[in-house]
Amino acid sequence: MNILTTTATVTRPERPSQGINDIKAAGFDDFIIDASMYLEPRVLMRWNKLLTPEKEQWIADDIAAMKTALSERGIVPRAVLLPYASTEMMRSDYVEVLTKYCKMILREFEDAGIRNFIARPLTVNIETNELDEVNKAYYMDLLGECKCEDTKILLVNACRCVGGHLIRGMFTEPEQVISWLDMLNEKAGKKRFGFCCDIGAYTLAAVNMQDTLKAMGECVDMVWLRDNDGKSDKSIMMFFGQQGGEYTTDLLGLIRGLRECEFDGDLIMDASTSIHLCPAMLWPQYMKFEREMAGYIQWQIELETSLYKYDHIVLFGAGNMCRAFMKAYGDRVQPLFTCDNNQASWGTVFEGLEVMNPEVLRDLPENTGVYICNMYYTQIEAQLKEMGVANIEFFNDEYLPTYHEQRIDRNKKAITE
Amino acid sequence: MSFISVQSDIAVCHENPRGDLLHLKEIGFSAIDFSLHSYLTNKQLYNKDVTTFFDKSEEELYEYFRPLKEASKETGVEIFQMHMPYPNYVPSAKEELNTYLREVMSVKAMKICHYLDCKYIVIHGFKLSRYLGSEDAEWEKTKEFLEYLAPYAKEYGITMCIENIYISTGFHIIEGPCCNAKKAARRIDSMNEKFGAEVLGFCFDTGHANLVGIDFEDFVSTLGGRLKVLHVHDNDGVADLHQVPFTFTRTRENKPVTDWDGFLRALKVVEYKGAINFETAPVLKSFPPELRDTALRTIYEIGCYFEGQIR
Repeated sequence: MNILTTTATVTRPERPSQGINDIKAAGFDDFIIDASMYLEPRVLMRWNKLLTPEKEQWIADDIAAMKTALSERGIVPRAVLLPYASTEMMRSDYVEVLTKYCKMILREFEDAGIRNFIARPLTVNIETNELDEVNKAYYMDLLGECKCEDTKILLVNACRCVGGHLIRGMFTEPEQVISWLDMLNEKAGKKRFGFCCDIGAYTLAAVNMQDTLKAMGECVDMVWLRDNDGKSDKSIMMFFGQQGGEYTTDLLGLIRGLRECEFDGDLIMDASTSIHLCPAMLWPQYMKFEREMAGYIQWQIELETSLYKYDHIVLFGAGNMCRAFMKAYGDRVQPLFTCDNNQASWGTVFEGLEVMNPEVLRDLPENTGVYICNMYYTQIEAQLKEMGVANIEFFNDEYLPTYHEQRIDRNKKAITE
Repeated sequence: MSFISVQSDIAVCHENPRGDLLHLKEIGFSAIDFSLHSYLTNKQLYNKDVTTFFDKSEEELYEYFRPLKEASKETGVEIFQMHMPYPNYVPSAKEELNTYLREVMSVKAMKICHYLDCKYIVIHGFKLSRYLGSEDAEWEKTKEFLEYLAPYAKEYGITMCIENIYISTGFHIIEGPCCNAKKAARRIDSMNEKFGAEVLGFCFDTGHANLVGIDFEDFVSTLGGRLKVLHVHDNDGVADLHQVPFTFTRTRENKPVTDWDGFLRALKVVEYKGAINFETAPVLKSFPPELRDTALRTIYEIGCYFEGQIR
């Protein structure tokens, strides 16, 4: 899995160098260029007034500045997010202008070595019965602009606006995505079209994210991860979108879905709305935090597959998290035993596992993973490292594949059902 | 002749069904959506507090609802559809409660439906996808419940109607059971084929659909003739407000936040024959009692507009 961010977070279009440096310094594997910074949706909304010859020159200059900055650093970003129309667009005569700029930007950045171009469908102010024809032509037009055989156009799910209310739009339903990819790739004669899941748009569309991601399976090339308030198309830092003090994004569905489709593609972190609210001097710190956040999400996605990389597994902890592990994974991965620092528990059996003295961990079979099933991760990790234990992993029960009702209540010192 | 219905909760009181149904008829309504669920509310169930209402014998229940049945006959206001109490399954409850809901409450609800000469009963699917780990696993549990009741449906000529509902992840609402029209269509066809009768259909709830961003036109078109009854109401796209259509907007252009045009186009295409039913009891609480009739008339007029668009 590659962890990416977007230039929308910290990069100024006219002077991209510092932003690129900050992205790299924050530890991201790579990034995508958000080309809507060249042709902003608000400019497109009033293109006949705002797209002056001067503005057009600025756009060309900004793209050239980015290409120079990339070339100087020997960097080829992973993808470009092509410009798009805002759902607030009130006119329908933008399609030609937008297509012209998308093709120009595609040409320029393909020339710089970029091979993936994410293109939102054209849906704003287009009649429902014309959507298919308009978008088929649009996507094939973009493909026609490509010079390289391995350049891919990525479709992305979009929202539709009804009186200011964002609802499901094109490419929200998995069946439609799969059918379009089959159709476009057949027309192209080769796999030239792929898919990028916009998690923010799924949140606005209130979909069952688990089902949606699972249904799309291998079709998912990239996941564009951004949070919002459930009402507007913003890119808030993950875990910070909230309603009534609770998360807006369906994180359980998201993690379950990405696990089930065994996602191993590009994870694009986009917190541009959040970061731009902060003073520019703090942007590099936010970028580092965003990278940490991405690491946590990657760890959650890969949690299940990591269980299978070891020949053996032992657990550390004989409490709720151990119970959660056994209820969720006990039938697939049988740990050898568990252990606990509570001496009174040694020799007992918990969830079918013998509870042992942690000292036994000094003498484990080769390629055994030790999963800490306790929220005091850092303390226990330090303890295990001191003992010379290898293959230390953290287990977590925040996003289990299923739930159960039996939890130990320390106040009652018994199972509550 | 118009076929416009309204939720009975608040509009029709148990003590005076004849008077209240006559009043609704005067306004123009020709049918009601009987709120059987008000006799065992979701709040009570989630608090695992079961009232004794469904402990009454069948005869006692028939006697209890006899005035309503007679009033419906006398006034000609049909009990076109009704709503089974919900939820039908509480995961955190003891098995005794869930057994009671299946074997006592739901069976008696079917019998009440038959007694009242009502052909459609709306039943909520189980909200278990997060608990069991998948929507398919959730449907299997709902299917078991429906198949338990299907023999009653077949015998009485009743069509059970599953409804698109939502779940809350904290305060954010996302799609819940029966929000995938293609899956719903397949499952309805499968169950009807199994029982050799139209035991299962669909109730499209516009308010719930609006909350989870469903494309009304696409959804209703996909359902086609499987769509049997409606729950028509409006909201702001954030909370389940059960208000009058065309109430909410978010832009200066004042276009509604709900795609009523798409909804009506689809109803026309699928040649929907059922009642235009408004699940709008909360409207009767929003308006002061003095304006209750005005509210009901407005609901009726909107129903007439809808009918004009689709029939």
